[in-house]
Amino acid sequence: MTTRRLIIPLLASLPLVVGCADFQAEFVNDERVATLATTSPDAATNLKNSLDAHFGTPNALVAWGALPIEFGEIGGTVLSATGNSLRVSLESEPPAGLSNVAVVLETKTPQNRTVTSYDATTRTLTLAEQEAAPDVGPGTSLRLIGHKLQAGRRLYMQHCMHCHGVTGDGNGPTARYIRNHRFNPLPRDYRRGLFKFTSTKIGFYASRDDLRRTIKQGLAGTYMPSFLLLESGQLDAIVEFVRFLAMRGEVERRLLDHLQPLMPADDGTPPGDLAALQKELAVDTFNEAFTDAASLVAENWVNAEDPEHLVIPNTPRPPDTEKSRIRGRSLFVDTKINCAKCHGEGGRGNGAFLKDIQKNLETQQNYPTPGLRDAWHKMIQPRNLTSGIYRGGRRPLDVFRRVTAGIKATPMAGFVTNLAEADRWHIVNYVLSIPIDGAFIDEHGHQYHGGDRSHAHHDHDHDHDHDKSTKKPADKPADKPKTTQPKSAKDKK
Amino acid sequence: MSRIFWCLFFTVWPIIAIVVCAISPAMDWAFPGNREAATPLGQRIDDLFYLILGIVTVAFIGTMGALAYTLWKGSKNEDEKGWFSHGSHNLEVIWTIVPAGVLLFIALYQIDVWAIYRVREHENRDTVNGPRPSHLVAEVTARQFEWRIRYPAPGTKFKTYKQIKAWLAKPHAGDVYAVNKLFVHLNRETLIYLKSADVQHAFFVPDLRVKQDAMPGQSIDIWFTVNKSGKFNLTCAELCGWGHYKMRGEVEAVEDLEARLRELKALQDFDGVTPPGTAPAGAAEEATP
Repeated sequence: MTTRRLIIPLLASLPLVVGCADFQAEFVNDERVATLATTSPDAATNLKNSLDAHFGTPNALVAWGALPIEFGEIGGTVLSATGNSLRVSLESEPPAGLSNVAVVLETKTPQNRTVTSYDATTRTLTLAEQEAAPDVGPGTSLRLIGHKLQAGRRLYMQHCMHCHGVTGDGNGPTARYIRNHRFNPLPRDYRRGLFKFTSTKIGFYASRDDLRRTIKQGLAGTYMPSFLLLESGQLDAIVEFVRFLAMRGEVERRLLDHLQPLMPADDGTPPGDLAALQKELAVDTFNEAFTDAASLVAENWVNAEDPEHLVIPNTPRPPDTEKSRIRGRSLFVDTKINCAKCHGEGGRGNGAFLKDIQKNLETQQNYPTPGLRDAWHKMIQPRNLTSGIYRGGRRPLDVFRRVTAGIKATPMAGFVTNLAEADRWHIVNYVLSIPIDGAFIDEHGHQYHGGDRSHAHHDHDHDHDHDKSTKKPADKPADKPKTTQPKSAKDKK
Repeated sequence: MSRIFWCLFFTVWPIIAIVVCAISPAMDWAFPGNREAATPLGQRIDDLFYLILGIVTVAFIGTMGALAYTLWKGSKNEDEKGWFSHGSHNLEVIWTIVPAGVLLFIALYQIDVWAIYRVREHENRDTVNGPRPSHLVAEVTARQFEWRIRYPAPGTKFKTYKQIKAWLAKPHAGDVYAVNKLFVHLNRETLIYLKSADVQHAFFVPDLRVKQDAMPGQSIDIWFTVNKSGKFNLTCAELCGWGHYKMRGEVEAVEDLEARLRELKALQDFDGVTPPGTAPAGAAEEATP
């Protein structure tokens, strides 16, 4: 009786102990892999195995040299070796708790081994058992690879995983609390390689600095908080791991596109010439497709780091004058670039385009409901420019970059070709003035200029020709100043 | 046997408790900030804690000593049978009046600290037409899961509370924005307006002994004077959601706050081409929220 009373609580508390064990996380495959497995299990297995071989699992990451990732490399030389223990001298001190990283030993035929532990006091590396491993003589040079990616994984699991998911698919355990929230976008799914707020030109990926900025400053107005107080090295490690996940996901996507002909039709029927296709796509050309996908992805990420591809203005921001803002305002409502069609005449993010049905660019079919969609097919809202929240940063440079290169993966286009640089700067001045001095349009849809509404001229765009006092010549464009004396837009406190 | 056990039990554990209390300062189990608050008011709050600690120590040792004495004496007394008491009116009056007196004393003694901490400033506001000129005003908005901070343009001097209210009501040109890191004056008073963008949070800086809930829809003012330079942890002390633990911030007290704000402002105004001589250090990779 007594023993039972003791044993049951002990058994009940066992899960607590088990919960403390190192959690064996797994990368989740794209859901299309499961679909693929219904027609061609071999192709699906092939895909999974290739991904595992080149990227590993979260607990045993693979540092694949073809990827432009700083895995964290430490060089050194072997001083003496006894069995699997090597006394070494390393160029820099590895982080504490180093384990399960790769080591390349430059023996006659270079060996790839795994380090199980490193003792910092005796400077001894312990290698994992490997059969028929050749002896390692003193003086052999070695490279430890992967500590940074591992550190990134550890930090990612602490700070990011619960929203962005182990795989970086934006589907972590807490993602569900954000879903369907009116004001918040979903956690980013990295697997398309698309990140919205970048400093790079149109068509280029996010640079390390961009990811770093997002992690450090957060995305104001969304659930992405700021991790300002993480140490610099920690931020770097997280950035590398995020890039790693993005690359893994995109290689997978591209391979699935390659295997697309093997997919079943909507009603589940396999393609007619399955066997021939399978041989061609999943066997003969598969490795080639894998290498191609990886090198394309690698190239994209390398290009994003090129300073040539940064959006840097040639001219400084023009002074933030009344004139400049009015010029910005006139461009904002201009039909050439249509800012107001999304952001609204008053900048409230309620433009007319929101009522239109948009086309799904992947399937070339219309979406069932009106509204703007991003590349992940999620409904998004144009920024309410009166809120004073700038997700990609509030520096004039940041806003200039948004106007120039747009927001990647969203309908917000870049206007690098449609607008002269000076005009983009005028728009920046106008946009930055909206939360402070208003959008030059009052609640009745009347335009006014400058900070003081009481001086607003109550006439609409279309009837400006009937302007009474201090009339501008009638041939002036509708968006030129119509008020008597524009009041200073400077705030009067 | 069991008699001795209970005697020992009720004697030994109070002794252990007192020993643990006595060594705790040496083990750094004491108040944050190396046992000394970084604000004068915080030091007075600590003094109140120590006063209460003294009172309860005396009460604890007294009652536990009496208990141990009674137990040991009673356990040795084999001849006399225990007697049952229905209470003593006099005793009850004493143990009601004495603690009530102690509580009344504490209540009166702490009034001044509480007044400085929460009340007096509001009184001043009605009678004196303006804050002290040394005030740093900042707006801190707690949101899931970070602290968004807004300072007025560097060099702004508010002359009246009305001006502060007007500033709080909307964004102004020249405002400086920051996230998770709050700069405050060293040795000069700081006035913070605490807001929440979503749910309840609490602005808690243990080293400064400052803790205030942030309520959605309200703008709550807190003030303090930091008299130690350095960085202090800012945490959220109200379980605000699944990411509560992420709300890690920092308060840093600096000598020349205005210069610091000017630096932040220069970063915030960076346009990518300002000549290198005038570009602030780190402008290229640093961005402000």
